[in-house]
Amino acid sequence: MIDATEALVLLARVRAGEARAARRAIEEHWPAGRSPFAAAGGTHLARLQVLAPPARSRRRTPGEHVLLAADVDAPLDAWIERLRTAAAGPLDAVLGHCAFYPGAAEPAAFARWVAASRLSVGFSVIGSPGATLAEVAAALDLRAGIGAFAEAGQRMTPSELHAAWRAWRGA
Amino acid sequence: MAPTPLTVLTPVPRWWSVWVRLTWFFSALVRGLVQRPLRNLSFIHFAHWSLVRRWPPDPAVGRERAAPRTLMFLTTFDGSSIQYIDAFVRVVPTQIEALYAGARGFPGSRRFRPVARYIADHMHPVDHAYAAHPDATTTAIAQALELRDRFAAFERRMARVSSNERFAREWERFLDEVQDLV
Amino acid sequence: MSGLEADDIQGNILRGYNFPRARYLFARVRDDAASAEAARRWLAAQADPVTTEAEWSEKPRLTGNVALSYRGLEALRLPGWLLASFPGDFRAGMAARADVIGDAGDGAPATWDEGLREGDIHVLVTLQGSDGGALGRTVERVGRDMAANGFDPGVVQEAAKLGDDREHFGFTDGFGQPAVAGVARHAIPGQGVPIRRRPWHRRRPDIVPSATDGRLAWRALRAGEFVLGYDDEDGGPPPAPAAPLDRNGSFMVWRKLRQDVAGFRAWLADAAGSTGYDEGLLAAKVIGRWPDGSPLILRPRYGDQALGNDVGRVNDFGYRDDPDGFACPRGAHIRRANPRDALRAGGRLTARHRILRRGMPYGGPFDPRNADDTGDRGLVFVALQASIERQFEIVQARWLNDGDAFGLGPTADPVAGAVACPARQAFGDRPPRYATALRSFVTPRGGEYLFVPGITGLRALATL
Repeated sequence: MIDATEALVLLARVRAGEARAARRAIEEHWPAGRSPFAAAGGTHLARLQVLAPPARSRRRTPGEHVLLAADVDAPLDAWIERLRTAAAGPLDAVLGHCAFYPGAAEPAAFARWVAASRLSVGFSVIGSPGATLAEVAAALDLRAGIGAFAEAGQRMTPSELHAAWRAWRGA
Repeated sequence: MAPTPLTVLTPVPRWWSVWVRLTWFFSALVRGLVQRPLRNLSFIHFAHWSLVRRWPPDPAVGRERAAPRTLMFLTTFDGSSIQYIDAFVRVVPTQIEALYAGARGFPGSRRFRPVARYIADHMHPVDHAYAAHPDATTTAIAQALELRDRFAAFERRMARVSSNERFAREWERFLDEVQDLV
Repeated sequence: MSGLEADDIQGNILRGYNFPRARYLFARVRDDAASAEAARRWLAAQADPVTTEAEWSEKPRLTGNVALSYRGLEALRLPGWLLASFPGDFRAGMAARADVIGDAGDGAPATWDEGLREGDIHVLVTLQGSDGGALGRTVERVGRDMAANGFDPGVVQEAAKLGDDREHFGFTDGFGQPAVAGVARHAIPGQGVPIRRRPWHRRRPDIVPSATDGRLAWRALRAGEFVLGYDDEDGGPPPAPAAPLDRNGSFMVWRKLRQDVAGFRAWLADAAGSTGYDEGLLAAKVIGRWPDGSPLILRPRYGDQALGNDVGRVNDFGYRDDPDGFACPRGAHIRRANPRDALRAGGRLTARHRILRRGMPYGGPFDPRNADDTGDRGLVFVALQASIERQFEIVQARWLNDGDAFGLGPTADPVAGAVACPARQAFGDRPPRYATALRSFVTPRGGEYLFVPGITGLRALATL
């Protein structure tokens, strides 16, 4: 069985001294409420952050990294390409501060960079696998519709109910 | 209310990282046994664990002391982090021990406060988070998907029903069957 | 009480006074150093007359207790290190937590009653008794006393029990409370944490067997869930402010909740027509109990006054055998407010979210002959717990304002204070029935998060 969703986790090293600029770029180009992730389509959940790995000692704090993680409609390759085209500017603004990042202009180079930066996910627990974003949206709408029909139907005679059903389902 | 993202990084010694990879290998074999109790904590959209064996280097920086092997935990969940941690501690402490017992400084998984402190010390604020359906909880999504399938079957059966009385009876029976999903 | 410093804990926390009347005096500390000092001395001087949890040889005519908001502690000019040691939820205050607890629309802090708004409340003096006249005179005397000692007295909220311990919707209320280990009065089945019965429980004083379910027993909650300085359900003392305020205190949520009795009754009448349920049964399904107190889970079709009056049995129930909510709907008020064993993992995920309730109705009774009676009436809701965020706020935000924990989606309890949008109520049955409440019948009108210091802490205010 092919899973309807896949997970991506990637890590990229921020160049020395550019962590603050990377964070500012997230603030500016990745605003809450207007996320470039939405533009890619098929993005269930995603995050982007700058973080530092745990330090071995207090004196030497290791350099910071950008973490990009997403749970998306399969296949992943297609999503990566959609993200690249829809969010090239915001991606470059943040990842441009990372070592080895080739930019989002060229699809093959971008895909190679993603593959090289990917972390494998060793273990997952997924709340509700097996549905694309569009299927989830449709199912939520349907559920609301069923509840409304169930309540309205309480006051109807059988013939009214059947007529309402036909009107609703176009039967 | 939008779901909450959480990123936790935990340094692990090499021997523990070997154990962790072993448990992942076996849990892939006994998927249900491990995942079901965790998935039953139905406010988890997802939880992903990855091992960072080698953090990406910066070629411009000369020799630097490598950051330690790290267990990376990414999760998104509904509700408050208090309930999330409480559920892990009270419902699946053994599973958490299996992943974290050997991690540096891990205080044990049986009490809420030490675990909450550990998470607070090791979490990294998420600068940007996105949820396609911020108001849809994982419970609601699971219910909606199952309801969709049952409703489709019902709808197919009803296409052949012309009697109003029969339809009304079948509708009631359908509602009865799916009332924990609506 | 065993193991608890009863003399140092203010009264009405672990055991309710059971007086029929209350007066809640609010006041602010005047904004100057001399007033702050006078106010601190006045509060410290209350350490003696204030009523404690110590046993009474004879019930007093009147009781008095004191609580302080964070702004009050600031206005008293307590040292910064002490102020900083208080938890964030308390420091923010109730109005600032409106997003968390769903105080929006008609219940938003900007709409609250005068004198109960953000910043209005520094100190709460609660007086309780039987004699309205004596209470009134004491309120005046205390008010004058406070005015002469650095305070600006504010509003006085009156409250009084209606007959039969009922609240304004007509239901007996207030008798479902957590059992606390060490408090003898609490050894009642159904008040504690539901656990699986074992033979060795006979030797445990904090465990009492169920009389209605042979597999069930009830374990009293650890005192630290409600009083600071004692071990809680997590095995250690809960986070507390710094000494000398670290022991024997508690956190209080005080909320004035207006009840729209006419609206509730009109909705019931309409929903009865839609669902086919009798109005009385429908009301019981919304609340989870009959007006006489008997729980739907034990009496799904008719109330039972004898059961309602039987303290030893009226709370002795779990929901495990009713997962679909046929007897007691999954979204019924008492099932949401205390899910017992209805969540996953038995009672384990409920134990850390219990609250002690010490409130009282306010306002005159609704006149059923006047369907448009929109007089101001409702409930002064008072909850006590060790952690407002973990206890009150989770119950309100995750269980009352939201039905997801019970598989009901984002639907709110229409008698608990925050229906931000229409909320479809689901009544488990064959077939199920539904009725949408377009708005809440309970509206927050103001209040605050308060700290109830132990006696030692209160006395220490003079010298901090």
